[in-house]
Amino acid sequence: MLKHLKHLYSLSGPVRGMAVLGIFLSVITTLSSVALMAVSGWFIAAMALAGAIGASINYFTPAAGIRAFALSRTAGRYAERLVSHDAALRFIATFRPWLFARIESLPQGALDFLHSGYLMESLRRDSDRIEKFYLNAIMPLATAFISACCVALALFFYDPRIAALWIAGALLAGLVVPILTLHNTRKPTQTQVDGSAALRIQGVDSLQGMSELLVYGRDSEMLDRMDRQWDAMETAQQALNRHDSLAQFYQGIIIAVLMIAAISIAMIFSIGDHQALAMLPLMMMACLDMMLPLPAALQIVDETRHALKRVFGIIDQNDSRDTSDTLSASITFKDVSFRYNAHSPLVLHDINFTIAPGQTTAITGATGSGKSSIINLISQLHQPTSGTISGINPHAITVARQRPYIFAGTIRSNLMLGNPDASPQELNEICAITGLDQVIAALPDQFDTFIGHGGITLSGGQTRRLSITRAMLKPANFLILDEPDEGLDQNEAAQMLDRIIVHAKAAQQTLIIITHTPLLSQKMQQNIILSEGQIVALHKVSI
Amino acid sequence: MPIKTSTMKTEATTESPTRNNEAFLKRHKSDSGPYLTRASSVHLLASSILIAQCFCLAYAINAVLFEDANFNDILPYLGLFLGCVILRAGLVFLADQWAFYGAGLIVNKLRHDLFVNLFKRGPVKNEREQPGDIAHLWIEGAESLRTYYARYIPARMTMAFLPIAILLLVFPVDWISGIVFLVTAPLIPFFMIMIGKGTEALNRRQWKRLSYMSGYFLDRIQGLTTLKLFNAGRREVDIIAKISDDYRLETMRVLRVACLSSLMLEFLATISIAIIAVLIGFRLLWGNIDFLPAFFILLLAPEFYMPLRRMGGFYHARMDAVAASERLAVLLQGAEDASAQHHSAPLPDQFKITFEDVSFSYDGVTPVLDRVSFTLNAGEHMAIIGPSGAGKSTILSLLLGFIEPNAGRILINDIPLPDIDQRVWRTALSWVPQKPHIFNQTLLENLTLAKPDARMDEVLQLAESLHVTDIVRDLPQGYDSMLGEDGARLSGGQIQRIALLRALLRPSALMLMDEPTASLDHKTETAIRSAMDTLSKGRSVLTIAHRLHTVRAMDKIILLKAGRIVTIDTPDSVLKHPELHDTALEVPLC
Repeated sequence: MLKHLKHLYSLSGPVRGMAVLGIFLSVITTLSSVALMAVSGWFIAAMALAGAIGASINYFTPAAGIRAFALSRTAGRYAERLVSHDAALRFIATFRPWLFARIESLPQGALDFLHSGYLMESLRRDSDRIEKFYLNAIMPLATAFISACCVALALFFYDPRIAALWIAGALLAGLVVPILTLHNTRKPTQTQVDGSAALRIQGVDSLQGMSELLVYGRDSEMLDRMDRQWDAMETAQQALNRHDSLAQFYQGIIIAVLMIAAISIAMIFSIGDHQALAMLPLMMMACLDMMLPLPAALQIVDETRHALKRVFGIIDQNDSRDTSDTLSASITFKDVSFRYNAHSPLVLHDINFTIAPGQTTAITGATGSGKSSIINLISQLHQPTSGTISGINPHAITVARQRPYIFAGTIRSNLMLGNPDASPQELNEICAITGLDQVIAALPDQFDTFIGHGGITLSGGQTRRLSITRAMLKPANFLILDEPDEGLDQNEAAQMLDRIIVHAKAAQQTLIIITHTPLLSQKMQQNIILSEGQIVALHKVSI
Repeated sequence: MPIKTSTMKTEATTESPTRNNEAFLKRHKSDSGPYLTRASSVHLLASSILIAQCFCLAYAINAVLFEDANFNDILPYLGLFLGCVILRAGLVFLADQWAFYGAGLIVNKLRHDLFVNLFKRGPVKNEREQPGDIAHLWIEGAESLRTYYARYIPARMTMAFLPIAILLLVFPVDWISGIVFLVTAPLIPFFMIMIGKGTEALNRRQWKRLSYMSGYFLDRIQGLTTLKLFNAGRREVDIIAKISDDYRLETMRVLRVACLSSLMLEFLATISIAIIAVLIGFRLLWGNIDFLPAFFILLLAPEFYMPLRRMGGFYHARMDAVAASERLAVLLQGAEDASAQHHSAPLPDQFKITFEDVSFSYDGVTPVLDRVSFTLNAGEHMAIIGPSGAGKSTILSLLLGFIEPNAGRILINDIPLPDIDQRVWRTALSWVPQKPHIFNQTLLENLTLAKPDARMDEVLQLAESLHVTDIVRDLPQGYDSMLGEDGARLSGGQIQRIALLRALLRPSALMLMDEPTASLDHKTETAIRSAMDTLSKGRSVLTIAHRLHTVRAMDKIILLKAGRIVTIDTPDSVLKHPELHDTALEVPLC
C-alpha cells in the first residue's frame, strides 16, 4: 500500500497546500470547541462562587473568550468544510481522467479480460473511496492527533497528573478502540469492496443479456443470485455498522470515566481552584468529538487499501503500442506467429506476406482461421508472439471491426469519432459511398438522431454501414474492413465495395478486406487465403 | 465533439417532485417491519436518560462547590452518572442496530423490486436506459436511502421529542432560559427549510449529473477498443476531465449552500447557548439563581439544540434520498400491479400461430406494423424478408412477449396469447437474436443457458454438428473457459454458433431467428444449415433473412414493407415478385 500511497501523493501536487490548510482549519475548529466548553464551565462556576460570597469578578476577559471561541468554532467549521471538500474534489477531478487515460492505454490483451463493470467500479467507486480517504480518514486522524497533543500540552502546564489522565484516556478512546474496530471489520470491509464490484458486473451483464434471460426463463434464477449476493453484502454492512456503533459505545463510556476521574483527581489532590471542577468535565466532554470519527477513519484506510490495490492492479501494465509518426507505405509480415495468451494455442503460424501501397487485398478463410487476428496485429491491439511486422502505425490505419461498438450519442458524434474535423461535404460524400445516406434520410433527426443506449437501435446492416463510414472518415493510409458485407444483401454489399474501391484509389488508400464472400474477394488484387492459422494460398489477380 | 447532455435536459420535472418523492419514501417505510419504529422509541428513551445524566453531574458538582461535600458524598452521584452514560450508550447502540437493520430491509427490497420490474418491462421498454446509469441507481442510489431511513428518520423523532421535554423541564425551574429556548428553537427549522429549498433543485441536478456520468463512463469503457483504434482516447480523456470538473464545480455549488446552512445552524445554536450562559452568569453573580438549576440548564442547553443540528447534518442525506427516489419511482412504475395472469390456458405441444390484424407502434403515432395477418402452421418454416425498418424484428418481439400489439390479436391455436402465462409460453420458444449476448460466465454455462440441466453428451453432440468444437479447441480451458465480457475474445461467427447451440439445445416447438448464419463463411454455413434442417424438423421456424440463398428451403416467405405484408407465398413466387426487385434496388435488403 505504501508504494501506491506514494504514487497517490505524487499525483496530489496541486492540491497539497489546500489539503494541509483544511487540516489546519479543522484543528482550529476542534480546539476552539474544547476551549469554549472549558471557559464556559469555568465562567459559570466562577460567577456563582463570586455571587455566593458577594465578591466582585472580572467577567470581561472570560466573556470575550467565550465570544471569540464561539466565533472561531463556527467560522472555522464553515471554512474547513469548504476547503477540504474543494481539495478532495479537485484531486478526484484530475484523478479520474488520469485513471481513464491509463486504462485506455492498456494492452488489448489485458482489456479483453477486464469486465467493464469492474473498470467502472474503479473509475467510480474506488475514486469515491480515495476522495473519502482524505475527507474521512486523513483529516480526522491528523486533526485528532494534533488536537489531542495540544490539549495534553495545555493540561500539562495546568497539572501534569490531569495531563497524564488525558493522555491515557485519549490513547484508549482514540487508538485502542479504533484499532480493535479495524481488526474486527477487516473481513466485512473486504466483502464489501469485492462484493460491490461483482454486483456491478452482474448488474450490467443481466441488463445487457436481459432478453436471453427472459426467453430462456433464467431471470428469476439470476434475481435469486443477485439477492443472495446482496444478502452477503448486507451481512457485511450490518457487521460494519455494529462494530462502528460498538466503538462509539466504548468511546462514550471512556470519556464519561475520564470526566469522573478528572473530578476525582482534582478533588483528592485539591488541584486548581473550585472552578476547575466545573471546567474539567465539560472540557473532557468536548474532547469526545475528536475521537468519534476515528474508528470509521481506520476502516476507510483499510477500504482505500483495497481500492488502491484494484486500481493499480489494473493499470500496472504497460502499453507497447508504437505510436511513432513514421508513415508507412507497405505492410510486411515476416514469420509471424501469434497466440492470445500463454495458455491458448497458436492462432497464426509463420505468416508471411506483403501488402504494397495502393494494392487491394482480401484475406479470406473459414471462421476461426485467424483472419481477425491478423487485423488485430496490424492495428497493434496485440503484439506477435514471434516474427516481425513492419510498416504499421496506428495513426496510419483505420479499421471497421466485425463487431462494431456504437456509442450512446448521435449518429454525428459516432461518425466524428473517426475525424472530429471532417467537413459536411466529406461526411455526405462518404455516406453516399456506404449507403448510410439513405439510412439517415429515413431517420427522424437525420445526423442528430440518438442511437446506441438511450437512442434508437440500428439494424445489423445499418450498423455495418455506420461503422464503415466512421472508419473511412479517419484519414489513414490503410483502410481495413472486417466482414463488410455482414448483415447486408450480397449484391448491395458488392456494389458498396465497388464504390469504396474507387474512393480508396482516388484517396491513395491501401484497402484490405476480410471476407468469406467470394463475390467480394474476387474484386481484390491480392487474395490471402487462410486455413487454421496458416496461409494456404496467395493469389495475385490483375484486374 | 460536443458533450451531449440531452438525457439530463429531458427530465425537467414540473410540479412539486419533492412531495411525490417524499410520498415514495414514506410508502416504503413500512417495508422495514417493526424495526424503524422500535429504533425511534428506544431513541426517545435514551433522550430521557440524557436528562437524568445531566442532572447527576450538575448535582455532584453543586454539592462539592456549595455544600462542602467531600469525595465520598458525591461518589453515588458520580456512579449514577456513569450508570446513566452506560445505559444511554447501550440504548443508542440498540436503536442504531434496529434502525440500520430496518433500513437494510427497505433498501434491499427496493433493489430486488427494481430488477423485478426491469425484467417485467422487458428489453424493448428498457432500451432507452443506460446500463451504467441503472447500475448506479441500483448500487449507490438505493444505498443513499439507507442513511435517510437509518439516521434521518430517528433523528426527526428525537427532534420532535427531546426539545419539548427539555422545555417542559426548564420552564418551572427558570422561565427566563425557557423563553430563550422557546424563541430561538423555531428559528432553526425555519432557516433549515429556507436554505433547503435553495439546495433542493441544485441537489437533484447534481444527482442527475452523477448518474449521467456513470452512464457515460460505462459506455466509453465498453467502447474502449474502438476509441483506441480511432486514436480518440486522448480526446475522450479531455471530455472526461471536463465532465469530472463540471461535477466538481456543481458539487461545490451545492456544498457552499449546504455549508452555509450548517453555519447558520451552528451560529444560531452557539449564540443561543451564549445568551443563556450570560443571563445565567449574571443572575448567579447577583444571587438571583442557585448554582444547581443554573448548571443543569447549562448542561442541557447544547442537548436542546443538538437534535436540530443533527437534523441539519442529515438534511443532505435526505436530499440525496429524495433525488435518488425520483428515478427509482420512475423505474418502479407499475411494479405494484399484480400480474393479471392467475389462470393460464394450457399450451399444446404443437400449435399454429395466427396474427390477426396486428398493429403496433412504439410512440403511438408512427405505425411499425400495420394490420399484419398471417398464419404459421405447426412444423412450418417461414422467413420474413423486407427492407430495414419494415417491422421484421417487431414481429419477433411480439412473439417473444417483449411488447404487446396496440390492435389485433395473436392466437396460439385459437387461444389469445395474453391468456397464456408468459413463463409457460416462453418455455416453448428458442431464439437466436441478431446480436446474441454472451454472459460473463464459462462457455458451458453460456451454451446451456436455455437448459441448465443438459447432459454433457447432448452438448457434445450438438457442438459437433454446429462446429462449436472449433471454438472449444482454441480456448485454454475448453468448455470451462470464461468468455469475458460479451465474448470479448470471440468473433461474430463464433458467437452465432454459440447462440445457435443454445437455442437448439432446448426442445422448443417454435424457433425464432434473426439471420442466424450471417457471420459464417460459406462452407461452414452450408454445413450448419444442413445440421439445422435436421435439428429443426418438426419445429415451427420463423426467421428473419437478409440473404436470398438462405430462404430458398423455406415453406413460405413473408415480404414485409413499411409495416405491411406485401405478399406471403412460396419462395419461388416471392423471389419473382416485382415488389421485391423494386425494394432490393431502392432500399437494400438489410
